Amino acid sequence: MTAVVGQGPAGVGGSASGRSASGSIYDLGYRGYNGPRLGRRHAVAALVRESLRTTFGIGRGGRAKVIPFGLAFLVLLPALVAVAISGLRGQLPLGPEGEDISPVRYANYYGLVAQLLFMFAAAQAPELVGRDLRSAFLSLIFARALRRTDYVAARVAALVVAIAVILLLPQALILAGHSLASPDVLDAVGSDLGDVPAVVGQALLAALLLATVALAVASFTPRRSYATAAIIVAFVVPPLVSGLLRSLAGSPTASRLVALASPSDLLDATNRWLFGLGGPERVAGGGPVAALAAVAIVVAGLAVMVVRYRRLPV
Amino acid sequence: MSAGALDSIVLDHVSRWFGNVVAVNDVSFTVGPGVTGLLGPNGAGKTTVLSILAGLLRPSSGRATVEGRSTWRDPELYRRLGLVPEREAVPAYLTGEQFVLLRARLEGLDPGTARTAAQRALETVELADVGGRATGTYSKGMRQRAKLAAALVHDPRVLLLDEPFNGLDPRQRIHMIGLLRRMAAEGRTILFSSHILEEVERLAERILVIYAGRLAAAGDFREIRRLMTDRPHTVIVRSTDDRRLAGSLIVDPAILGTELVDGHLRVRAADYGTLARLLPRAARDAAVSLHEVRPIDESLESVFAYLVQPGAGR
Amino acid sequence: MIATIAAAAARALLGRRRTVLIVLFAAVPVLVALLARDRGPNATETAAQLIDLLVIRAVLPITALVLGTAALGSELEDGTAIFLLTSPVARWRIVAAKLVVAAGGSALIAGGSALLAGLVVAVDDPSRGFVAAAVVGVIVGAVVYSALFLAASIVTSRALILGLIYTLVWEGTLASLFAGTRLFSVRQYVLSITDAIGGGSAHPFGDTLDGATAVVLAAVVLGLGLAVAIDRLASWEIGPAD
Repeated sequence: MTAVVGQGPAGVGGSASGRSASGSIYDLGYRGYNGPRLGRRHAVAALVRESLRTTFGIGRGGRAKVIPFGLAFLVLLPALVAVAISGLRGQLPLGPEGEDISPVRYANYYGLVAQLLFMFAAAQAPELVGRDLRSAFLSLIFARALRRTDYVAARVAALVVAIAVILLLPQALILAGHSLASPDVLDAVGSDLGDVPAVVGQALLAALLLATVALAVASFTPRRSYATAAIIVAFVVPPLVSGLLRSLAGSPTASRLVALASPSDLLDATNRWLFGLGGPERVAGGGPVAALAAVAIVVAGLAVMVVRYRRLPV
Repeated sequence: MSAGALDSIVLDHVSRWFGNVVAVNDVSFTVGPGVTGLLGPNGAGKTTVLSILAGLLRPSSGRATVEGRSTWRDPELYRRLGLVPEREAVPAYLTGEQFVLLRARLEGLDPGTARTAAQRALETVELADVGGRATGTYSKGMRQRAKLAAALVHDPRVLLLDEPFNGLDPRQRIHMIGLLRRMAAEGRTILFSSHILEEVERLAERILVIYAGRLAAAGDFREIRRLMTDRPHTVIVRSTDDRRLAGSLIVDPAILGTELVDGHLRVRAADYGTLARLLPRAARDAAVSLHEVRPIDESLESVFAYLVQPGAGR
Repeated sequence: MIATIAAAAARALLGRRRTVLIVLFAAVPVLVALLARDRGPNATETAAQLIDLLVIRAVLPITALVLGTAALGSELEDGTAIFLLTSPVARWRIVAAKLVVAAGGSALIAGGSALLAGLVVAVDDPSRGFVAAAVVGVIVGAVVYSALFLAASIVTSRALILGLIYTLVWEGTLASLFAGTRLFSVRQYVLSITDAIGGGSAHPFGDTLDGATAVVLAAVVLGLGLAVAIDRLASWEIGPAD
């Protein structure tokens, strides 16, 4: 079979390019494509789709799914408990105090599952950007319509969506369970609706911050394990430092300033602010400043990634 | 190889599957001293067979033994066996000398002996002068030779080589062929895999043809050819009058066809024996003198091409 | 033979940029200690909190994770382990050599971190005694963690993240919810041994296991980790050819 670069029309079968008395040679090799091409938007959308699949290990065999789905399930677990409690409340001999017996609520849901979200980001961010750094895939992608910023945006968008979904799904479940379990469904829905903006706001902030930081760190090394370790350090260690500065060193100012650079502390502060919980301010400037700082870190993370991928010699 | 001799390598109904993919399918063969080639296209299962023999894979069924002892979970195997893998790279930061020396020490040679053995091995593969450089700076052929030196350093009786000629230039190939022949003459058992027919033809005394996980043929390749009676044998004949000779030959039903091409005659017969009887007789009857009689499809290429056709053989 | 392999492993594992990063990480407790010095209610309490939160919960497990999973795991993943495995060295010797390097490195780094940070804040004798006990506990933890993660790295290529889930979820969250999980938590062994040696009457770590129990459990876990590692290495198989 000869491989001849041909210009045949798209989709047409091989043409006989050589004939002799005893036979023909069919050109079944490379053929150019002159049909319509979808634009940059479709390329980005395709990359986002592929990134979402990678984030959950879809299309990569069973083992790749264990960790993402396992962690997602663990995040769902408290909601399952809450729904069970809602459902059983009617059976249990509880008075009106029983209304709020569930330890799992919207206000503390993020706090319950924060560490699981850290691990999800730490586990999957390297999967998203690490492989490309090792292989020649990037040179293939950037040879087409996709720009470097598009690549970064697509990867980040996918992980943000993934984390947001993982965090929102259980809370939606709680809403459903709570409403359906109560005698007046519409009334229950109405009373919970007030929390929805806070729930969504916190989920978006968390998803944006965790995804961006994780991907920014992961984009510096193709080795999965170093990236994971570094991401976990970035999430888990600063709150320990700020906590120690607060309790041991008795220097609350230093503690509050360190907390401004700690994604974990920032998200705790925004959670408290969005849900109107009281308590001492652990971040300099309180909830609103924390939200701003989070946004600033997101922007900085994106900038770092764009610069990194622009500078990559592919 | 007589069945009674201590065959170095024995595969007894060995199969190996990975999930749904059967990489090696009920393969049985024995290999004794001398050079044997394992021939097959990419993906046929050659590397899997060699991995099983090297104790790196467990047979899913059947037994693989080297010098009578099972290959699985037996570190002592490696005192008598050397492996030159195809894919696995040498740690780039080690120099050639360090690498071969480390292998020598791992093989249990004491420091003094290890040094001389490493030196000798490097000289054998002509790497002695570049031994001081990190293997990361080696060309592909040099890395290949470094792996060979590491496999030879403990003077193994059995040597397994996976695609050993990959990346070698013609001069290095000739050198390696000579080296392997010399080692085989010393009584060693050498089994090497290749998909390059030329090399197997030149080096192997005996071949094993593996295709789609199955053993398609085993033995001297000319013998294999003869055994394939369902494919006609073609012979080129040059004589004083080809046309008359053709007319004389075609009468006999054992002659399948004759063709006058480019100044000679091509005769196709069902088997050699018949052709050998008929040709002299036909020549005498036609009063024609024979200048040349030469079989044209005795090469390994035609054997191989025939064997890997669907429907070939068993 | 073990020494040969260990020397090669040390060169591969520790002579890299990653070691610098780990050491920087291990310096964080020391920096915080400088700020916390003389500020807490009493020196032992300060030292205990500092070492617990920053060393035992962070520097120790993460260092042991990175070194333990890389000691053998990185070679198994990139294929260069073949040259080690196709040699007549007994598998237990290979495991021992790699463990010596991983555990030694972790013990040195995490133990050093605990020691230096502790010495900064330990201004009186009882607290110094506590710091010494903590260093012992951390070293024991380094050995047991390294063995566990080394074994895990032979079984799966995702040992690092699984180890992280173990330390953060199992040893952290679950241990606070379900007291029984303390029996299977290396962190608990570290805290208990430290408390038994140097806790005195203050028991800064709260309700821990009995010291002897912790030692026995740690030894059992260590033994199990080694046994699994040796057996799995002997049965290690190369991945399917492309």
